[in-house]
Amino acid sequence: MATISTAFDIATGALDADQSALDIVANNTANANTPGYTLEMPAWEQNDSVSLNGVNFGMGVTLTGAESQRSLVLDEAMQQQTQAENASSARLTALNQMQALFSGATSAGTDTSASSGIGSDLTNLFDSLSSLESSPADDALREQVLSAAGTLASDFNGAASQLESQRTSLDEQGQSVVAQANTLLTNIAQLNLQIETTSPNADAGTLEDQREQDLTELSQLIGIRTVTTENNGLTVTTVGGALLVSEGQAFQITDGENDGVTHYYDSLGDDVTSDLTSGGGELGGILTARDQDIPQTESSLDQLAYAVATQLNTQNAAGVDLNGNAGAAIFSLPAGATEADPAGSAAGITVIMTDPSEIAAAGAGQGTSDNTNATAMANIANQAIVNGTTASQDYSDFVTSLGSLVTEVSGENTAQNAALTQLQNQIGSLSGVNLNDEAAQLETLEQSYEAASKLFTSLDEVMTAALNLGVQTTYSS
Amino acid sequence: MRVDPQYMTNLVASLDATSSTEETLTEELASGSRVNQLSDDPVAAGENVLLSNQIGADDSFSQTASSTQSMLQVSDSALSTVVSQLTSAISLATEANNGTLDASDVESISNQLAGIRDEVLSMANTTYLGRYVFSGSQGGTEPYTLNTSVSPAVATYQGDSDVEYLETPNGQQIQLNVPGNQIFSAAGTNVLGTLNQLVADYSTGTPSSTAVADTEALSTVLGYVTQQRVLIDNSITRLTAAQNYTQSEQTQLTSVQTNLLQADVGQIATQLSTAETQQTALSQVIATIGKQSLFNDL
Repeated sequence: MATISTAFDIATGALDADQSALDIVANNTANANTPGYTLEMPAWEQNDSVSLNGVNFGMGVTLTGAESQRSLVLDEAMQQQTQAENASSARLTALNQMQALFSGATSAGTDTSASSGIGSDLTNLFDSLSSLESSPADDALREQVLSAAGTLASDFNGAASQLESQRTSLDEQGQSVVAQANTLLTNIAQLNLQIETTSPNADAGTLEDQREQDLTELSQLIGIRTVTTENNGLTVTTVGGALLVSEGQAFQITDGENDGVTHYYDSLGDDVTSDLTSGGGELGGILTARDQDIPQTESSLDQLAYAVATQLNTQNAAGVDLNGNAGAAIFSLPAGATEADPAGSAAGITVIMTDPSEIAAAGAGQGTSDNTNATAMANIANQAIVNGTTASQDYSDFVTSLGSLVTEVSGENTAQNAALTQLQNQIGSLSGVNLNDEAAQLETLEQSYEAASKLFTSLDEVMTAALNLGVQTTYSS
Repeated sequence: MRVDPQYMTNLVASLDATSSTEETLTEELASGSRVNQLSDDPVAAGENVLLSNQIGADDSFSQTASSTQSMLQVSDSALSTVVSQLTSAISLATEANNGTLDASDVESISNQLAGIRDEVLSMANTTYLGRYVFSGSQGGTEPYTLNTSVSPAVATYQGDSDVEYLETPNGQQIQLNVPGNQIFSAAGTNVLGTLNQLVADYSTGTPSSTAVADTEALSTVLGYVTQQRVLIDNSITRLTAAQNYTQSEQTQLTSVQTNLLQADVGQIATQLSTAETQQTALSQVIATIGKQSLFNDL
């Protein structure tokens, strides 16, 4: 038969459990805005019942602890999406800076100022040559050709040097991202150790929260893959499989200069630059812009600069200048630039002709007012000289493809952002602290605490009655 | 299902998004251009490069054509002077040939003809902005020099036979000059040679035996010069036509460009007002939701 003191034990247990549950609610409420905090729910457990003389009696309740409301599947999906989103976002920032260099292409009219870009510079150069047709000996018109050529060359130089400085600054950003990532790797390794010792078999609560938060931050920086190991440990690798964290050990990413830019190496000394480029995270975006987008843009400009300079030089050499000499070179290109590999042409193109009378407007063997060669030079504007098309068409194609690339990456980023928000909502609906829920739970716990206290009062009366054996006044509680 | 308790953050993110939309729209309104970055409309940006190129070519041709017009006008008026001088030369010669004049009158006609020859010579040596217009491609060289130490005097052509052309943006070629040796000293229709001959014919006071034939030759020459003048006039007409064409093309292209880049103010204003409404709604939702919490009722 069950005793009254058993009932006292059950009531005490209920009060203890309610108090612990209240602690959990208080903690949830306190951490409602803590980044990475995962909602904890009290885990109630019914005590084992006792069987006396064939009758089963319940033995009350115990609170076994707080359970973090976590989904590892969602967390991992979130990490991957974060990596993709941050990569496209960093790349988009770089591309936006890049396209700003060529925004002159969107200005209307025949603005002759230098800021309206390479497109109008090309127009002005060829127009100045066609103006020369009407009076080939005119010094002012000749001067105009040289000045248009100078503007074109300096705009090529300006664009190339700004691209190069963007590339340098991306390179520096990459290094600082890797430094942050290395710190996080160390943190994760330490948390691994703590989790393995304190909670090898169950969810590690706040430690786990911290580790998840570090992984999310790491995902913003670089592309990673995670594998859960025994004892609740975590192995972190790059997307390509280079080891970054194993158990309690962090393997730092090191960097070194290679071919003018920073390359990254794993703990074995292998070059993981391309792995990190395709992996994602901010670093992935930065490296994509640094190693792919900027070099592509530079090479388009190089091709155009090379083609215009060599064509005009060749045509100028075919004529005779105002002094009766064969035409000299108008432009100088860096040594070693060839049609197949015009690298450095945009950065290195300069106008070396200083005397406007050296422009060979006349055809070979003709007098100073002959314009056949000036006409031929002006007609280069309509000839397919680069990528199978004219200089202007080539620049127009370049502008369109750069703009399209920005639009494409921007669209990609918007979609990834939406997917990320979706995931954040899903995780939030599972793991976020809802203050209304906490308020409701607080109310419930308050009532059950009151009820358990009431139980004491009632049990006390029952106990008094039992002690007095029915006599009312002998003993009072 | 439990909702994400952090929905407030999402609402604020939406608020940011509408603010950014408003900013873009305001920029479009302010600049009047719907393409401010390549990515706003990559195809339009590319097309704009080509349009600007074509407009630039048209504009520059219009300017070139104006100065070329002046040069052709100068050539034309020089030839017009030559024609009128030759006409008076013919009447002088005819007068001298009819045998009613005395020796001193004939001699004076010879002198007058020499004056006409000098005038024609100076017309043949006409310059435009320092360039001899009738010396082929040798614009820096005086086309004709006259040697009067022999009789008849000899005019020597020092230019070449080069004909220059101006190319219009559409590739049409317009003749810019007629070389002097094609007008003034062409074989069979030698203007200066015939004049020199006539001056010599009358220089003695008695018209020489070749005077009549030379006078007839002068009429032929006059017809020939008139023909050459037509070449220049044709060029002027074609140039004017080409100039008109490029100007109208330029106007056309400019309007295409404007349509391509111009912001549609009505549309943007509508979008802006929609964005504003959305923003107001979002702010109110945030304000209302922010007040509600069960904790207030505990």
